[in-house]
Amino acid sequence: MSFTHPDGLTLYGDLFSQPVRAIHAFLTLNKVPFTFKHVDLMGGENKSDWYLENIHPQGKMPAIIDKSSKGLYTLFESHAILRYVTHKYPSLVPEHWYPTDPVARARVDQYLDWHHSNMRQGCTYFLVYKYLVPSIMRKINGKDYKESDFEAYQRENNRKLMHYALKQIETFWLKPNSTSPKLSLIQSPPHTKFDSPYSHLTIADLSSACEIAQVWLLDPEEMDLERKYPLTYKWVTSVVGIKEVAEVQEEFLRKNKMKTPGTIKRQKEEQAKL
Amino acid sequence: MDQSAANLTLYLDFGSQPSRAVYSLLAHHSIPFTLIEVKIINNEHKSDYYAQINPNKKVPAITDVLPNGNTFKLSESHAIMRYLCATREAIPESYYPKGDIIRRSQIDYYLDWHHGNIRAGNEGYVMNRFIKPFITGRKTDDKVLKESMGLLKKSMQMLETYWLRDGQKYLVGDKISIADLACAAEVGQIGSIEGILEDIGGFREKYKRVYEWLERIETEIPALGETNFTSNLMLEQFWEMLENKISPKL
Repeated sequence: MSFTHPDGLTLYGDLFSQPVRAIHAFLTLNKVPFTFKHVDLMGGENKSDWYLENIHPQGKMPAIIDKSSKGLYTLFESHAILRYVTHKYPSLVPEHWYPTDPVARARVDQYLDWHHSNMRQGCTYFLVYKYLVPSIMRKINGKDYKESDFEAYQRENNRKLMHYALKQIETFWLKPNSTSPKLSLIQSPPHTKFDSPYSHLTIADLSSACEIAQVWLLDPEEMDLERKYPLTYKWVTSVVGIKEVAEVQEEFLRKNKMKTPGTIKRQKEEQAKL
Repeated sequence: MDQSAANLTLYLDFGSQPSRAVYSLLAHHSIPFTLIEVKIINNEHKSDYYAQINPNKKVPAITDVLPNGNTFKLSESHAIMRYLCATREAIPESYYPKGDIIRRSQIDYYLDWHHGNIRAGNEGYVMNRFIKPFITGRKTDDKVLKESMGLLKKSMQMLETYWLRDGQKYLVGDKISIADLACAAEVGQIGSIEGILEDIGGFREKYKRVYEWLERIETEIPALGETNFTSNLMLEQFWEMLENKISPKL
C-alpha cells in the first residue's frame, strides 16, 4: 500500500508524549496550519513497517514532515521542530517565542540544552521506572512481579534528578526575570513590549512546563509542587493553563490508560460528580 | 560586528568533552579569548568563585562583555557554540548557518539527539565503568553497566548507519558544522581507551564510517585533534590507576 503525505506541515506523534503536546499547542496557538497524525506510542506503531519506511528507519518520534512543491522535508527532535516553525512562519509566530537578538536567543538555547539531561531525563525516566516498567512486567509475570534492584536504582536516581531539576527551576531559572510581573524561565530582552498574554514566554517555557505537568498530573504527591516549589507551581499552571495547551493535556488525560495515583484520584473525582 | 579580544572569556576543563568542542571552535578560527581552566579534579567547579560564573557548576561556560558594557554569562556547550557562530564573523556560515533553515534545523536535530545518545552513552559508561568504582571502591552493578554500554553501542550504530549514511563526509551534509565538533569531542575518546575499546568490541572494524569521519575531523581541526589526544593520554593513565586500584577487590 503506497503512502501519501498530506500537503503542508504534518505532525506525527502521540499526545501521550510531552514534547508532542508542546509542538501541537505551539502550532495551534500561533494558527500555523498543520495536520496531526496520531501514532500510537504505547502500541508500538512507530515500529510498524509504514512508519519505518515513510517516517524514520529506527522509529524515532515525534516527527514533522513539510510537504511543498519543492518536495518533502522531514525533521525530528521537539526543540529542533519548535525552532524550525519559528523560522518558517515569521509572520505567524511572534518573535518573543524565540528572540532574534543573539543574547536573548542564547538564553533560550541554554535552557533547551540543559532540559535534556536534567528535567526531561529525570521526569520521563522516573515515570518509566515507577509506573511503565512495573505495568508491563506485571502483564508478563503477574502477581510474581517484584521490582528488581536495577529498576529501584533507576527509579530512585531519576526521582532525585527530577527534584534537583525542579529546585534549579525554583532557584535559578525563574529568578532573573524582573522585567515582567509574569513568571518565565528566560529573562525577556530589554525592548519587549508586554502587549500580549504570552509575550513574556518562550519555547523553553512551553517545553519545560509540559514536561513538569506530566509528572504533576500523574503523580502529584511525589512532586508536591505547590508546597515544595511554589514559584514553579505558579509558573507551570499559568503555562499549561493556556487554552491550546490545556486542550491537548485534557485529551491525553482522557485517553491515558496508565494507572497512577493522579489518574486514580481523577477518576474518583469524576465518578463523585456523577 | 566583531567584538574584541578582552571581551570573551572561556572557562573550561580540557578533560571535559563539551569544553573541547567549544575550545576548538574558537582556537581553529583564531578568535581572541581569555582561557581560564576550572579543574574538576580539584573541585574548582564547585567553588563559590565559579558559582558566580555558572550557578549550574558545570564546564564549559563563557562570559562576554557586550557593546553596552554588560557582561553576559552563558553555559551549555551547544548554546555557546550557536552564540559564537551568531556573533563572531570569523566562523564560516557552514558551522551554523543564518539563512539556510533546512541545514540549520538538521544541525539542531543532531545537537538534541546527541544529549541522550552519544553524550549519555559515552559519559554514562565512563562514569559507571571507571569513575564511580574509583571513588566508591565498588564495582558498578552489571545491569547498569550493560545498559550504559548498550546505549553507547546503539548511538555508535546510529552514527554509522544514519548520520553518516551514503558515505557523507560530515554529520550534516557535505560541510563541517558544530555538530561534528560536539560529536568528535566525545567519540574521540572511544578508540583510545583500552578499557572502553575492549568493552565495545572494537572501533575501526565495527564502525568504519565513524572511524574515517573521526580521522577527518581531528585532522581538519587540529585544535580538537590535539586536545582529544592529550585528554586521552591522561584518561589512559587514569584507567590504569583504576584497574590497579579496583581489580584486587573484584
